[in-house]
Amino acid sequence: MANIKKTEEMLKRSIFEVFEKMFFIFAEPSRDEARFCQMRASISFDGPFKGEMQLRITHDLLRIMAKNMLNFEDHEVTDSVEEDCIKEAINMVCGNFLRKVEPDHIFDLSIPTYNMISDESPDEERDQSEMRLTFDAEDNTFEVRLWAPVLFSEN
Amino acid sequence: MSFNVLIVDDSSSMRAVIKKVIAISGFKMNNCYEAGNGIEALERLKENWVDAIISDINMPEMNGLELLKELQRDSLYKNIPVIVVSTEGSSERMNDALQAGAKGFIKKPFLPEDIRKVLYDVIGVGSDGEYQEDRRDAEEVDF
Repeated sequence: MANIKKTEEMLKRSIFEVFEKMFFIFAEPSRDEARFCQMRASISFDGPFKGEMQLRITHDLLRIMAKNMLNFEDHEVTDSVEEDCIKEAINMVCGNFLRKVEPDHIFDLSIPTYNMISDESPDEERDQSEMRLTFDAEDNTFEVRLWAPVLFSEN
Repeated sequence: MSFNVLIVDDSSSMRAVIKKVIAISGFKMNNCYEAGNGIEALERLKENWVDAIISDINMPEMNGLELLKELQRDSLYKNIPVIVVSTEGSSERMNDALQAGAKGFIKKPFLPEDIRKVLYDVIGVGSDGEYQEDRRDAEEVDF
């Protein structure tokens, strides 16, 4: 249990660092389930242990992030900029988190993928090797999901 | 004195951010070239001389470490200072980058000051954008 708590704290710190430094977004952890998030980016990693991380975010919040990161006006934020922004966000959160967990070891990160979530597609059921953290920011919501069986095993 | 810089990152947004950060750092840029991976970077170098390269590691086609190795193999390019900007900031990864020829390492997420400091240390440019002759021979950045 202590391991899970420590992992959660490290993941939260990574999320805060990335969202504050790169996107000027100040997020608050939320106890509620995330509201419907239309955008999703995923990245997998392999090294001392394997896993995957996913960022789910509302379209409105993603646009705010893109505008803040690039100092853009609303009309300058294209689909391509949004895609770039969410992929860069998950890449940074994942890399930042892994160097907190294993500062002396190398992980190979995949190239992030991105897709839109259909409101008709059922959400995946949570499994025991998964952590979900939900945050509120800018009157919106986002969620980070981490799959890493080694980190969440009881032994 | 102004400099030519090549920014290598598969994210066009990140390239734009780095370019803006360099500009607000007071660094006088003449030309800023961009590439989406190591292969594109080598193409840019065939056509343009640059004074510094700022490169990501995790990119498709040819990653940043492979690019560093290619640059080291070429006598024309091997003395161009390369600064690696990456999320992959483990001590082992930073050693890999240094051994492959990188002169500096910036961890993402970064603050504008982080880029300014490493530019100063690596190619001898102060916060006023002026070339610092006595810093030109700086070997490596102290992490």
